[in-house]
Amino acid sequence: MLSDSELQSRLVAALEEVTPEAPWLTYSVKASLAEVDRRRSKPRPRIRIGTRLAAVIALVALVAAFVAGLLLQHFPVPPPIPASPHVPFGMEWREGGMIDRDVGWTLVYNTWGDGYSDRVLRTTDGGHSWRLITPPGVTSSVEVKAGSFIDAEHASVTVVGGFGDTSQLYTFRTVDGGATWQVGNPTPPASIGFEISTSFLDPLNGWLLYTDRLKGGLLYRTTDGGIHWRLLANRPADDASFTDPPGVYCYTWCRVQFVSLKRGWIRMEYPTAHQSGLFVTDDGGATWNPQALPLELVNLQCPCEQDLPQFADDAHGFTIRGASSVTQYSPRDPQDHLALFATDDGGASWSVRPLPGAGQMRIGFRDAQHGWVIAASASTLQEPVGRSDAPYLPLPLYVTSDGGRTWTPVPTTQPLQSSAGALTDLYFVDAKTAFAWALRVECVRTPDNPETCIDPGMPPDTNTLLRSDDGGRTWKAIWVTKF
Amino acid sequence: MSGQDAGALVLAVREDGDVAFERLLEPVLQPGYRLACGMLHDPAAAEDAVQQAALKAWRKLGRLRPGEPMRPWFLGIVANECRNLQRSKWWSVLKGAPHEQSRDMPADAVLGGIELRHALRSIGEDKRLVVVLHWYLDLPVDEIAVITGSSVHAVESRLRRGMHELRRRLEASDVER
Repeated sequence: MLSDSELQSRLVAALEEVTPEAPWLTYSVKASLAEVDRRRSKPRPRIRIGTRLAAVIALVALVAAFVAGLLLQHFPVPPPIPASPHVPFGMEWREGGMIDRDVGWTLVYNTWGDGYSDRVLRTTDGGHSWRLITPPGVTSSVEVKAGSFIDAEHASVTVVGGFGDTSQLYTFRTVDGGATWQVGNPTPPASIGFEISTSFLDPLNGWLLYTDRLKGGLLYRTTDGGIHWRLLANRPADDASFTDPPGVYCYTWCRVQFVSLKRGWIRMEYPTAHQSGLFVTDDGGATWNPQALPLELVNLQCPCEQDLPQFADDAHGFTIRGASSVTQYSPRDPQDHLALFATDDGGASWSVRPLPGAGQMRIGFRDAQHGWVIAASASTLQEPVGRSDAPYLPLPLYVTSDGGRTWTPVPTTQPLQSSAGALTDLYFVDAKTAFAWALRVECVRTPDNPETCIDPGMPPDTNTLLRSDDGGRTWKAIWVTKF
Repeated sequence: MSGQDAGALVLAVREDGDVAFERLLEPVLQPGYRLACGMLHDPAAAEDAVQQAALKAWRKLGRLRPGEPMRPWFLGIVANECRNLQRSKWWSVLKGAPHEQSRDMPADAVLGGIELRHALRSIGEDKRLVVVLHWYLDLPVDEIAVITGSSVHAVESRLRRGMHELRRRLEASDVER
């Protein structure tokens, strides 16, 4: 018969096996508290955020940095390593954004010098100069599959091909603006043709959605900024999605976004006519239910390419959708059947709001009230515009200060309309400061087919970062990359 | 942290908010995590439970009277969170990877650990809680009584019955082996 002490020692040993050290626990709890605090006060205008809250957040960050510094000594992952100092010559902007007037991050394709590899850049002077901060180990032939730029100091990027391993996905995290990076444990091996989508609420809490044709959609969760991932939920690939209509290059789940620790959204692969293609969770991602929208989608080709709803806070979200049953938003052609949907209750219900202009649009909201829309022809926004003598279409820009109920046109000026090229992104970091990316491709058009842009081998593409300090009225090119 | 200090901190939290709360919370996070690991046997879920418990503690701090010790109050919230996690649908679809620590251990030890945890899970929630608190967290029965909201006598009784059941189940599985 087991004695009490024998039983106790066996009990302790068995439970110690499932109690690994949790060096980040204190930090993650504090970060969660700070996040909740921040979200509670977020709906208020920024100018009203009290100094007390700022002091609390600053102190939490200081304490967290101190605790993290202590704990890093025992952290079981490779220690931070300095970022590479080499800045490549040729780069093509891919995605990213400015956090505030000064600090911004971006992912770029590097197509010059050491092969086709991706890079991470960061600016601290409002976009005038950029420093390469790519994680070490991300060498040539590496693809940065996803980047989450959380604030001025914290970011996570997920790459495939790091350390010479072409099938493993690694997530790197930085807590010091890219000066050092930590690499997490690799997620399960990736298959050919996979896609990644990540969503981070704060420096610690994130979700990674992996999809491919064989495995379907696999949703992973991290609570330590991407160092460790655990499988939370999965959805097998549906074969029918790939055959009807044929050639649709979408998988099962394809894009993820969380607005709180509990509530998140997933974009579905290829919805039927009776589905919105959106799924919502209220338990942190373990279970997902279809999200009904007031209108059916028109474009069933690949909803992965449509954006997920943008949430300014827990309650207020916005999205543009193609709509088949709203006649008031049906101008010239089917592609123009667009409507703005807004929710004030975290996505439980949606209403249609007016949308200015026509054509393909981009929308953004920096809080529940203030947003912008750019409206133009499909060619201006979707396709790089041709040679410099080709006509450039004007760029109608509208802003709202009442959550999209009314819109005011903003007269924009040169060079946005004439020489910068096709606009690929635009966003406001505050009421006055806005950034826009433009891509210009010098093409050769043949007499036989003047509408087709022929790649002459190495076209001198130009990426331009534009900045406005007067609410979008005037723009200035502040950074140009060219190869 | 003495009870007096903690009491002063509770007052400070009410007056000054979050910073004092963190000081109050910090010493009890690791015990909370050990309790959650002992109850859930899943480190990732345990971290979630402690995070949720910390948020609830923050919101409900007004219920903690000045002078009342923080640890039993917080561990009670953690125990509740573990209970909620086990009962929710969320728990049933968790697919955490097996913990790596056991890989370097002898096969017998690994098997013994698995059997013991299995036996622990089968003895009933109230008994499991007091067994984990007493034998794994090394807490005295009077503090466990505060955590579980029951009498010292009830705690002792549950502890005896829990250990008895645990021993019986382990011996049965030892015989099968």
